Amino acid sequence: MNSHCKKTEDVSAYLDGELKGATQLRFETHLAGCAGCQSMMAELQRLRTCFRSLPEADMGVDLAAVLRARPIAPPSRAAWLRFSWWQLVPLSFTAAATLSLGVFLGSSLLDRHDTKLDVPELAMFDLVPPGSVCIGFFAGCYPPEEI
Amino acid sequence: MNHSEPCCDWTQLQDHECVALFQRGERRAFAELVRRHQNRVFRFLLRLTGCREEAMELTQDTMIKALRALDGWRPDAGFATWLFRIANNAATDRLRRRKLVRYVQFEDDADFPDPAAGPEETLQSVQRARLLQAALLKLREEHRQVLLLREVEEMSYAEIGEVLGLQEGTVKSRLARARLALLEVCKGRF
Repeated sequence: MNSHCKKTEDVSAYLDGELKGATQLRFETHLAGCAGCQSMMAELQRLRTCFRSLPEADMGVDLAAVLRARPIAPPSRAAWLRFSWWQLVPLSFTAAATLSLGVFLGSSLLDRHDTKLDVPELAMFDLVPPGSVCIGFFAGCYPPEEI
Repeated sequence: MNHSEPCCDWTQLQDHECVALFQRGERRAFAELVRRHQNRVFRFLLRLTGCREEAMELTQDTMIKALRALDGWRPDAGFATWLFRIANNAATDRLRRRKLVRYVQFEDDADFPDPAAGPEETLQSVQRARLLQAALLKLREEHRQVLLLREVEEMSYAEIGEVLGLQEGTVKSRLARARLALLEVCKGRF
């Protein structure tokens, strides 16, 4: 393999008949005096002969008949292409209704926050420390206003 | 157009004429295009993937994609070139998705058949073809593509550029590198 010669691409292109005009003439002049390029050209031509010897494989079926028998779906667009803005309408209504319900319930709870809860005070939080002997609420141990 | 009677001898029509008929509503024109190109596309895909079943499936996918896109086809490029672009893209996508693309370095103990096994010229030719097929599968995908399009399909650099979406200069350099790589893999075996 001629790895030192800078004309590698030109050898390949010349083999393919893709060099034109002055470029082709210049390369032919070079080729005539370059043993490396001549050797490479011979190798590429051998490769080409090998490519020609590749077997002609066939599918073995009439694909046209297969396709005719099979219904072809219309081109499927990507999911994001199929999406349309009007599909958002029901979703928007649902979101708005949910938000309104949440605001309504929240505000009704806040309204109740100001009402005074009528819960009787518990005796365990009484000012009398634990340990005091007490015979009961109705025996006069405590002043009535503290009960 | 009368769909019950053939409008003409399909085989006499050029590809672009078949496409034009298809676009005017003659759906049978596509069947003719499929018959013309199915084996060529199949062979390209077979050598690109190295798998017959994969190649058959991809050929069918290619034709279905072509059928779906054919209404929008314009004769700026050749029909075959356009079809090969679809086939190549389908193969590339499939191989990459299935992670079947293998950039295998050549090893000396690779299972090449012995080229000296048969003295007859025919047998040698078969051996060489097997060697070449095995060597192609050891190349990088981009090298295999460009070699097959040039050496088997005999496309010009401009056509290869259209199939692969490359400039002609890039095709030229890639093809030269691909040939060097193939010669390196096949070193002394042809």
